Amino acid sequence: MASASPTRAKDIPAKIVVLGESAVGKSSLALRFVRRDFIPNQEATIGASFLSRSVSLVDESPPVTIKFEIWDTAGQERYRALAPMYYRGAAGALVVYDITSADSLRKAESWIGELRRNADPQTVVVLVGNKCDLESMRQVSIQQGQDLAEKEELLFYETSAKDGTNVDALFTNLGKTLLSRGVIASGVDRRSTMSRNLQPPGSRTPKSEQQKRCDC
Amino acid sequence: MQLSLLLRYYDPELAHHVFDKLECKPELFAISWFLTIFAHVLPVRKCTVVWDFVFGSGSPEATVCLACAVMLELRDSLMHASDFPTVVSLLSGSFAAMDVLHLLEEASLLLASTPTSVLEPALSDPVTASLVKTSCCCLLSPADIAGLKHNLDSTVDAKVNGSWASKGGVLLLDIRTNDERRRGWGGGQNNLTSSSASAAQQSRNITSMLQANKIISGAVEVAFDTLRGWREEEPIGNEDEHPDDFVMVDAADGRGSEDDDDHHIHREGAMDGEPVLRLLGRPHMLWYPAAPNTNIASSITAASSSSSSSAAFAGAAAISESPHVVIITGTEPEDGQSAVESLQRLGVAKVSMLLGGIKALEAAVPYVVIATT
Repeated sequence: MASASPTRAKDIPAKIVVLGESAVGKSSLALRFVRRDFIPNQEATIGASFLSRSVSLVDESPPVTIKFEIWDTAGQERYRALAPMYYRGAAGALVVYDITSADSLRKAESWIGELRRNADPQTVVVLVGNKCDLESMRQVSIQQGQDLAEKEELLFYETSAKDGTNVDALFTNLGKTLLSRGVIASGVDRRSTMSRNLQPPGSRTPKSEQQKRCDC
Repeated sequence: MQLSLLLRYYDPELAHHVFDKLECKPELFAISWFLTIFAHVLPVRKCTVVWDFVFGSGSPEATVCLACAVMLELRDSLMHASDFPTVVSLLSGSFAAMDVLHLLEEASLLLASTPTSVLEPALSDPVTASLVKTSCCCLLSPADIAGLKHNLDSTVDAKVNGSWASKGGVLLLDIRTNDERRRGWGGGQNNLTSSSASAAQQSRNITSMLQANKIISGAVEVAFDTLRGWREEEPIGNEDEHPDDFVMVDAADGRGSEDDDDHHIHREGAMDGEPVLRLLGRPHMLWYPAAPNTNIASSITAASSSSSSSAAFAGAAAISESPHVVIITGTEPEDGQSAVESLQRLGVAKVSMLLGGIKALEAAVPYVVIATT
């Protein structure tokens, strides 16, 4: 897995926060990615839980390994005030909704708004429509998700934590985007990278990411 | 916040490592501990025992004491953890293997032995609240200092590593300027009312003294009056009492303090610090200045740097031997904050600020305060 590139001292850490309405599958998504597992009756998260997994991106040059440090937050409204603690300084944010719940998409929009207002402008936001295995119960079309992602200039995926669809692809692509935008960089302390990139705010607007569509 | 204060009080080195160096704040890992009183992390069998303790204790602070006990229990692994994820997984994943009864024992010791100002900071007081918010150090009230007497008597603190009644004793560090001191000690004025100008001056003084590695240019008063007073206060004249846990140190700026030095030393019988301490049979305190002119700053720095430079945690013993430094400021406690930070940067682990100033201390614990003017 880890390549023997001389420039890579160790895994590059990337802090990722998972946000969204309760019961859309944030914890399941994180667990699917980290443990490749799915628990049908996942209990509600309290506060937040922390998970991490390293992923090697072999087609980067030089190849790199990103260590995703994932803060899986609690979706219930009463924990909302805690969220800033977790998205502060995050390299990436997954805003998750449930494709079988139109409400959860509206909640996702409000999360996007909050991130725009309060989070680091460099934070790469991914809109994630989860539970795409439940096609028969779909309330949110792919187009709706794509439209929102396009409007807000976000990455977009429809995933299924249950069967694993697109979960790895999501994180791999997020990792590549973080690298290409310089939000994280190999061999450089993450925080100094973040602050360096903060100097010219908005100078690199994420305009080029719209082609990365869901193919589910 | 309360947990971080409590841990800073009992184990400043661990608190610094986890909360400051690895930036792993209690808000990030302990929310479920408090929201569910550990039900989320403990198996049901253990949880019932914990809840018995928490509700049976009748104290709202029982949970935070238990949380602190958990962190103290994991101390070694936490100190060896070099990154944030390791700490978080240690703190969330170690419960299944923990001996809950042992933890509860530790927690009830903490509950019984922690000064009120640390356990239940007076948040209604804006000054205290702002200091608690920064949680840079603990605040001790004169009553807490008085309470030390009980703590010394009990076996409780001997068991709790790094507690303020640790073997290092308590060092009252007076950072007021001579001016403030005169007003505070002699004039009968409230020494908390100094102008902000003098506050700034004082903070400059302490900073420059610290930078020059000469924190304390004044004399060490091993206060005989104090010791005698302590003995008199003790109803059962037990020979094994430890009156030497209080050492008053004058930290006035260098220029003015010379006269005072001579004055004190001569008045008190011209006995150097070291023989006195030896006399009292507390060898760990020997690194207090051996003679009136010795620089206590270098002793403190030497003791702390020797421990911080050694890898990870080898220096724990030295730290727990070091005294708990209680800073006496002449002005609003906020102004002592820079002094606290400077001391912490120098590696002094246990630093607190005295709430209410020297007058309040004198009122509460008259036998530790001796007049110098």
